[in-house]
Amino acid sequence: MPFLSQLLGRPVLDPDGTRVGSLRDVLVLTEVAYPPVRAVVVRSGRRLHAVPWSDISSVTPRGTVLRRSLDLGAYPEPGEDLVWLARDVMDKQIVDTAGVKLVRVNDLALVPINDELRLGGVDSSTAGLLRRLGLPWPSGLLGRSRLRLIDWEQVDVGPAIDGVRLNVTFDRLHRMRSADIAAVISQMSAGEAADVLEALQDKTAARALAELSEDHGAAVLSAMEPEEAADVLDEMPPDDAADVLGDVEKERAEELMSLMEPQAAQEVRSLLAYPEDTAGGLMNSRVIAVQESDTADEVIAKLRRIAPPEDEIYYLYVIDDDGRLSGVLSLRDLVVSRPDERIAQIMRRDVKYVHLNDPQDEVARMLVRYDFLGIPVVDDENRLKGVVTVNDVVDLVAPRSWRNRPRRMRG
Amino acid sequence: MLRLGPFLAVMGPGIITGIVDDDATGITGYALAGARFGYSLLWVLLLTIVALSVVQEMGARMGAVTGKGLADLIRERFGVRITALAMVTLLTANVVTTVAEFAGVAGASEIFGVSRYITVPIAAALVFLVVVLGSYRRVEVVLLTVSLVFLSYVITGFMAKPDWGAVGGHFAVPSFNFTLPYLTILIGVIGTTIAPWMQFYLQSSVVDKGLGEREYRLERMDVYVGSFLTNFIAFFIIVTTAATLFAHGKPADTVTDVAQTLRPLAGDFTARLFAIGLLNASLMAAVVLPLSTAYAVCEAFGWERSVNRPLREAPAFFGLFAALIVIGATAVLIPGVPLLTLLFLPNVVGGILLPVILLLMLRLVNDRKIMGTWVNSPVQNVIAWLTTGSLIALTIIYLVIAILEGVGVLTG
Repeated sequence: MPFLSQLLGRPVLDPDGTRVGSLRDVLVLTEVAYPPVRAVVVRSGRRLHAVPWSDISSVTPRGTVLRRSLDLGAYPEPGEDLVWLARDVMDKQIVDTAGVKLVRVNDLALVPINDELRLGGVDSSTAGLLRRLGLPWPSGLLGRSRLRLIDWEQVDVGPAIDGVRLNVTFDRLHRMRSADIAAVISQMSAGEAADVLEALQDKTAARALAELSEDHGAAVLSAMEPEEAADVLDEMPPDDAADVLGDVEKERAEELMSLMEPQAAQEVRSLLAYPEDTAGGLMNSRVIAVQESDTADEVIAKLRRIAPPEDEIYYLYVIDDDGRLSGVLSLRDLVVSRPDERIAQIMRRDVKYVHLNDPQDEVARMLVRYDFLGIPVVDDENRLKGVVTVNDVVDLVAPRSWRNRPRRMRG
Repeated sequence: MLRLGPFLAVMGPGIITGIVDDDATGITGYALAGARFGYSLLWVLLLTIVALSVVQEMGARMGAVTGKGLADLIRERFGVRITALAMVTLLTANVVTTVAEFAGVAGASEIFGVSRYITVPIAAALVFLVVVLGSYRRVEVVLLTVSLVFLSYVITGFMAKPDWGAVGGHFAVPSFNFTLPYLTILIGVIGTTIAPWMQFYLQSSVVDKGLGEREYRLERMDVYVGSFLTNFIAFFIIVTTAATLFAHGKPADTVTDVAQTLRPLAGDFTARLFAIGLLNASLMAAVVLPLSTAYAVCEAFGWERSVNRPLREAPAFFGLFAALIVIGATAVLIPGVPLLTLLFLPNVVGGILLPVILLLMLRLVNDRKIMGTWVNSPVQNVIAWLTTGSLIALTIIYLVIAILEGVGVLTG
């Protein structure tokens, strides 16, 4: 199994062994699994020629042998319809979706299968680096077991490369969990991460962005095209959107909010008014409030209609006619009650809550002490303003090293 | 969570790089230039301010347009071998510079009469902890604030009562001679002002901050202000030592000498300020250099890098970082090692190696595939090429004279 680095620069020979040029690059069709080599680029004098695979008899580290004696001048200059492995993929960064990390392509393994040569995998090892440097002996010392190839079918393109986006789509990245996408893009620079998020669906991008640390998320958001960034923000829960926007430079944040859907922007704006380290700054203002006079059936019908995300319906909070918090019930309480039963009869009245300006540590302590999944936030008049869930405080209690930290020079 | 102080908020990567540029090697380089050759090297600053502005702006622009660090771009554009060459260059320059920063700590502490065997290990441990605990960005605020003492050089410059007519004359009219000591100092002044590490550090900082084409105009101002500050402070350091040490014919053979001789000439206060400025500059650069070196090398070779990763996930990063600090601190503690040589050596090494980095930067910044319409303007190219060309020419002249004179010692 040859590596690309062992092929490049080697002589290209016609059938009787005469040297006609040297191998400059290998072109593959990336739309197919394990991309097959479709042509090679031969350098002859100062000119480049694309020789199709059908005219090649073999490609080995000793040299590339042509099938027929032909004037190279008959072959056209290579075009851009195929991906140039040496120019476009070697030395670039690529996402290893199985290992959930960004790796650098030190070499590429080409596998002969039947009459084809196919791109099998990426070598990101130190042995690959040494091979490229023309120092194969130390890699012998490292032992063959150190050769780890990443299956080409498990990689996805990293950031756009010199403006060229590989035709490998973001399919595999799409299928990753948002936390894993976040782990990968936290290793990219803000500009690179912005490229990736713009290519993902808004919903996927929104979830990944919410998983990033706030300052890196803010940098990524700033690096995105404003319209794209606003679309992603629209998809985020308002509290997460507010957290990220809170770290974005002021003018830019205003611009993004003006591009967001008015209602989402309004929610974010009101959340940004609260200090970051208080219950108000942590809470999600999208909270489902039900009336004491509603029946269980009505509430279930309402939930079915809104279809809220799961962390917004851990608990249902009950308000009286003035919007004051008066009780709480769990989804379970609701489901097991008779359809016509009034909420006032099934709810718990001794509801625990926090105030808008309670410090965040206090909120976290309450959640942990009572084993709650969420706790309601009220203002001075006891009106329900939002809810803080465990997800919102997990960053306060989890060790720093568990989080998706950006890869940065200065911490 | 981390709210940067308002002081830092107005300071972009350009200004920070400019301030760190006046590190222990910078202070030494400028102080020696003034002490040995009076005002006669002031004209060089007029050129370095332009050259530094243009070169740093190129790096900042590349960071803003590509969103990638310099090491990253070099690797993607030039492949493994050229990258290895660039990294050996950077590593060489940065190892000697890190040694110099600890020499700065040693020198500053000895001005206060405290043994370097106490202060240098403490400084090394401090630098290591600050970075590993991930608190550098907070400490940076403190260090940058303390670096305001640099402004004291402006005051000392005036207190030294220089002959302003002579200052102006030498600033505006170049003079030159072909002696080895003169060339050493000349290359040293250029080499410390435009140091190889700065190119990597500034571009990565721009990328870290997520600055893009939109913020580019502001960022360019930030870079120009940073470059101006570096040279502004350099100007007054040269004036101070020229008006005192050179005017009174006092040689400055050790760092303590500089401070001790300043004392009777410019007062106790001046000497202490000099020492505090030196200590602060040394500490700040002792953090920045190992950090940016480890970062650049890991970026180039695709190794896990970040102070935020656990040690076992980023062994190369922490290994390089720790090795630089250990080498830096132990080299200074070798008995009888001449601090002044350690402090000045990086300037010459940097000046000689800088063209390698500049040539790569010029190729990258003029590559339309990478930069699109943001390639260098003709004026920028002329200045950058003149800088590179004159440094190469100076290096050749210097080496030829050095060989002719059969002298291997870098500082006379």
